[in-house]
Amino acid sequence: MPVGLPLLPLPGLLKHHRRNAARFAPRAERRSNYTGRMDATQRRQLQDVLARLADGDRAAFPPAFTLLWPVTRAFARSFLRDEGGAEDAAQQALIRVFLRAAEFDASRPALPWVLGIVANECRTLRRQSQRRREGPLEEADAHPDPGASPEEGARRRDLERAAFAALNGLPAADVEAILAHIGAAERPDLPPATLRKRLERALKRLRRSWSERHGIL
Amino acid sequence: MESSEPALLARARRAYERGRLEAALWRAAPLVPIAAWTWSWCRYPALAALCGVALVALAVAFSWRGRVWGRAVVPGLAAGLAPLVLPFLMRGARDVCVGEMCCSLCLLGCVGGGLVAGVLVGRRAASLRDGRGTFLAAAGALALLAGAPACAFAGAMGLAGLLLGFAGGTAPVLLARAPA
Repeated sequence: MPVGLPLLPLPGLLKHHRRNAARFAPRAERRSNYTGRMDATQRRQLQDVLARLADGDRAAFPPAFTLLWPVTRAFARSFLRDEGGAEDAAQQALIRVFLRAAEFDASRPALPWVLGIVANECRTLRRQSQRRREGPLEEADAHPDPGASPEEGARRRDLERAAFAALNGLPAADVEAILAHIGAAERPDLPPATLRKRLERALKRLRRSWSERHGIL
Repeated sequence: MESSEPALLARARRAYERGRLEAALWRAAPLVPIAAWTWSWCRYPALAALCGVALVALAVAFSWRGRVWGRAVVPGLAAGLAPLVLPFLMRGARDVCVGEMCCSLCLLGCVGGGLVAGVLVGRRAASLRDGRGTFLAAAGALALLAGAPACAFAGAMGLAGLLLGFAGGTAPVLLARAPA
């Protein structure tokens, strides 16, 4: 049954989606808070040490580790929002980065490449842990709203899943803007006009994503 | 699974070396069928097998080691095509005689192939600022190992001709471009 977007319980499900904010790492790195974690000098250093590592210069290993570990840990924490699991994910992601260091193409920017691997690893680990334990939607099933009938509950869950899927393909900055607009997240540190424009674009993309899936709106 | 930073550093280091080794193995993988192909027609299969194994092993080792050694792999293998292909194509040809002097065309192919390989490797080495000797040694070893099975058609003389040609191709280029 096709459903209209305005019916969706957006604030609740967007909280889940917020964790997906860095789904596309290069975009996430470009548009989210991660840009603030490394200044231009550090980025240049990272580019240099990764190029040297790819070339086989072992002397570049300690500085690469020193630069990469804080970034990887911060990214994993932000992505997973779970300190213990994030630490494990960050370690695995860092190992993966070094495993693939020989493949790094020095003509491409280093930080998005690193964060792409880290985001991928975090997603994989999250999927694995979700398979092991009950996911958020199943948790909601375990604690049903006492006022809602079973049909209403099922319909609500269908809507949540549909909206989750529509949001899943949006860039991190779009999700951030929507969350800020509905009050589910802090307002990004941007000029009001920029934020308004970004929100406008985000809603346009959300509508398009919804229309592609459900054919209405 | 949490571990201390030194332990993580050690794990990361092992992962890095493993990643390099895997990448080197993938890069050297196309050499295996080429080595098998040379073994299938070489006059001395044991020599071809030895050269093939050494070629693959050195290509993996140099790629894994990286830096100048790693950068020498592709030019060395590319240069090795000349002494591999020329004597192979000339192996069935009759001797060439100039007056009283006769010489196997295959032997000439070895010398010529070695010369071409030497010039290619020498030019590349001469363009480097650092590590010329290392580059020359690594690329030269690969080029000679690639060409040796084909030059074996002309026997020991063929192998000697290959070496001579390579030295003759490398030396002038290096001398001409030697820093003042």
